[in-house]
Amino acid sequence: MLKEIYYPEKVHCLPEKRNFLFRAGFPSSKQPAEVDFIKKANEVYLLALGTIKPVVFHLTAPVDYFPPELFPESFLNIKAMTVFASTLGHSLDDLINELNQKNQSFEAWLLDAWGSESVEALNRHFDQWLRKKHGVGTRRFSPGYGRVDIRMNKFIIKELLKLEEIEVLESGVMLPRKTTTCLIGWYHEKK
Amino acid sequence: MRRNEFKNLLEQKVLFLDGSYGSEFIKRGLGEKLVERLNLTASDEVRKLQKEYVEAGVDIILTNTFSANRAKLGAYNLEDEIEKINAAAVRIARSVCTGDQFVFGNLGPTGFLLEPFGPLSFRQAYDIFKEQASILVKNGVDGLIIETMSDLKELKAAILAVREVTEDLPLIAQMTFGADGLSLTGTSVEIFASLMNDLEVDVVGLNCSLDPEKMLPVLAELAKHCSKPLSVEPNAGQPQLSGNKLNYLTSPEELAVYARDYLELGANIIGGCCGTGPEHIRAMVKFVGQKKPMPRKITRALYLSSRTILKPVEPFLVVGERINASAKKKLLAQIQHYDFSEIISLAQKQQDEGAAVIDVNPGIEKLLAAEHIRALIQTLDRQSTLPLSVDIQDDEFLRVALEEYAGRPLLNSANVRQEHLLTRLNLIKRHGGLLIVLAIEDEVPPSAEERIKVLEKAIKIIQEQGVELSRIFFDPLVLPHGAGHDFRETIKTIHFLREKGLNSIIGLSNLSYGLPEREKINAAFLSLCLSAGLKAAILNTSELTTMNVLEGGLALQGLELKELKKTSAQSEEPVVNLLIRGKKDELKALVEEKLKELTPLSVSQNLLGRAMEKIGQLYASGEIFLPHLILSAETARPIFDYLNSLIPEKATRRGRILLATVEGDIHDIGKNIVATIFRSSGFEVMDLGKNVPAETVVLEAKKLKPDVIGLSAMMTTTVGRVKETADLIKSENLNLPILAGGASMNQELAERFEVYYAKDALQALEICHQLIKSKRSRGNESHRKD
Repeated sequence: MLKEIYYPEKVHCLPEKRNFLFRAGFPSSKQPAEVDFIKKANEVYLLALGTIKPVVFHLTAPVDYFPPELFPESFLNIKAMTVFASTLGHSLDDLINELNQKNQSFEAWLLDAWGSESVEALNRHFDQWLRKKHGVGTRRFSPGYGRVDIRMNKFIIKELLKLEEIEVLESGVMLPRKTTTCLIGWYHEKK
Repeated sequence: MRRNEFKNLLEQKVLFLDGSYGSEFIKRGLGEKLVERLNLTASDEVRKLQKEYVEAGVDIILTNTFSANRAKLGAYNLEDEIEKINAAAVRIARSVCTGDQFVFGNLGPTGFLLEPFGPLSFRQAYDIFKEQASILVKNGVDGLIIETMSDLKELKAAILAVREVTEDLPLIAQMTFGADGLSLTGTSVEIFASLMNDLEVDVVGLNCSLDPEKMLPVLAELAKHCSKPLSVEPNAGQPQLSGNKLNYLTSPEELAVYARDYLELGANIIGGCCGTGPEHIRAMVKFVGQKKPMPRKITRALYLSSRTILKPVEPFLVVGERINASAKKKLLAQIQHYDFSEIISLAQKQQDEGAAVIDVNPGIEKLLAAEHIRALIQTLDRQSTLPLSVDIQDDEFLRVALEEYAGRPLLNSANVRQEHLLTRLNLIKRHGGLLIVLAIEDEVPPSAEERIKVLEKAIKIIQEQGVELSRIFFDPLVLPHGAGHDFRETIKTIHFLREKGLNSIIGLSNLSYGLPEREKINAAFLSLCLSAGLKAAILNTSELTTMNVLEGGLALQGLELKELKKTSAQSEEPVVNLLIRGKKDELKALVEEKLKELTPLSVSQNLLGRAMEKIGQLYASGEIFLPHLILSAETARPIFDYLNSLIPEKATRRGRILLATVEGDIHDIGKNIVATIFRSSGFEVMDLGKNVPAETVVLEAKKLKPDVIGLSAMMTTTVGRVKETADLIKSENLNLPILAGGASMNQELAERFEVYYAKDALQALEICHQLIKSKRSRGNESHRKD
């Protein structure tokens, strides 16, 4: 089974502003109202958007293609599954590192928060894209929860998707940092 | 769609408006001089663009009629097609709707400034808007939008005209502001908001001039002060030339990100203006999504305003009483002869003495005509004075005064006879403003109880008419103490008003009428009234004791008279002061005095010229506004002309500039302001007008031999003509510096076109000074070499 590659538009990676700022430390009820801060946050937002090189690697196959330890408990009665890895690429990590080295921690902090929300926004978009293609499916699931060990990331990245662009540490953490793996089960097998 | 339906819809979700038409059509190679004509000549293209906007997810499609009013069409000899162009626009827009979209008829400015700053009267502007609105409504639009207004008075004319055509359809009213939050004619966002809160508009908004980032703080200010739903349409930045193409720098994603911020600020309708296209709208719709409007905190402060000056009513409103021609025969005679110099002087004195508002009573109205009132209000507008209390009784005169008034006035006054009160309530509902209501119906009630009864009747009528009581100042009646009236009845009535949480106002000086040492009596009575809870007074601000008692009385209550950002132009330099205040005679007298010791050239360049430079600095720093600038220039010009007549020909001229608006462009407001500023600075100005072909500029330049050529281009569709004209001038070896300006020009384009760029009249003046200085010193050098 060969992986496929999906190149999203940047608009698909736009994180919800409130979520991005929430992750950066602003509670929903106390989102910054000062115009100058909003402008600064937007500069970081747009800088990040201009920096990322988002891509989604995905593979869909019948259930018997996958090892049983990859299936969450909730994935009962599915006929097929999609495994995908979405990443914003190395450039955002490089930028965050660079800013930290220059002691521009404020921007680095915001960029990091942005990146985390952006990859989630991308996942949401790709999730919807898959559902249009495959029909009714389970909720989206990521290793590290339930019975699926986070170290399954290595299997997903290296064995299933066969990606060299993404490094997986022994702990299961992936590089670039803003990378996630997800699973969705399908109740109908497409012919 | 009815207004209440639209209101309900706005409460449920944020709506999306479409993007630009002009710049989109250019991008698509449809460079018509007037894009509205495409409704007839290329309707499929218009339909295609609007279909793309619908597919991008808009809720409101605007008709392609921004410049399709009689004034703008007339510049292209297309006024006979006004009906066809507007009707076709509605038809096309309607044809692309899939059922969920609304079609709003788009009305743009006339292209002319209204009196007193331009040639168009209020009535002329009103008729222009009424005609276009009628056609749009007749052809079935769901609502109307007035866009890109830079003048508050013109906007008011448009709103009133639309409301004459339809009371039922929703109306969005939008102005355009600079990044400093001021419009072309010096109106702030706060003044705009406070007037729109009163008028019959359903949504209040901003569009054009600013990119999404710069629009943010301006919208934030509007959101604070405007109680109506909000709309916003930023530009996609300034145009940049890339090869032969004009590009806008704001990406769809950037617009989307800022749109999200506009939502947080409380915007109800979001769209795009110049440079935005379907891709911007698509990104915005996708990112913002289906959202309910956010709640926002709106200031409860109450304001009165002129065109440029905003005054809070709290904690106490001081109204200067001295422009009262009913008691001053001389003042009445001056008004009858259209001599307003004394009135201007009184207005300025009272402003200096601490008045927040100036009461204007033109006197025995039977001896005046409506034109006197019109001229009076316009003159005070030109002087950029404080907000006015319009003390006029004749209904027709009142109507004229309020039509001419740009801002939120105080209407003095109404009694509680049904018809009298209703007429005046309708006037403030129509024109905006606050109203003084006297505690009198048919006769003067002697006791507080009787006055309170009258006021209670007034309150009922006011509430039935749907006017907020906060917009009313109730006058408990101050009657002459010398005639035996008991001032304590007034105090009791003020108590009643305070307990009801209502505003009170008195005509203070009435108390001491006919008595000696009036100031002491006025001051003492004011103190009593303050303790009773008085909120405002019409008084003599030159009475120092009275003003001190007022300050002291407020201080005891822990209050002080608020001083907003200094907007009155005051300078320590006498010449600057005289110029800003339009004091031609006094300036002439001062110049004559100076000529006894100095040469005319020295007076012209060192005294007057320097004063104009200082005024330029005050304008650049936002301490004075465009009306001050124009008035200063007009005041200076005859003095310069006089001085020039005393100076030998060679030494006179500062320079000679040839001005033109490029071919295809009929905007000339900015160019005319440049001409005024240059003339007042001693330049000879030759103005070729608007829509001037490049060949004509070259021909005239050869004939008239200017030192500099100034070109203006307002529209993105015409900015390329600047390059065309500049190239032709160079190819003819005229060797003349070219200065370019206008809304579509910027530094980068100027560098590409190899011309100089001036962002405003003052920068143009500075650049011209430098250019001519260099030219002359090169001339002197070559002369010395020879």
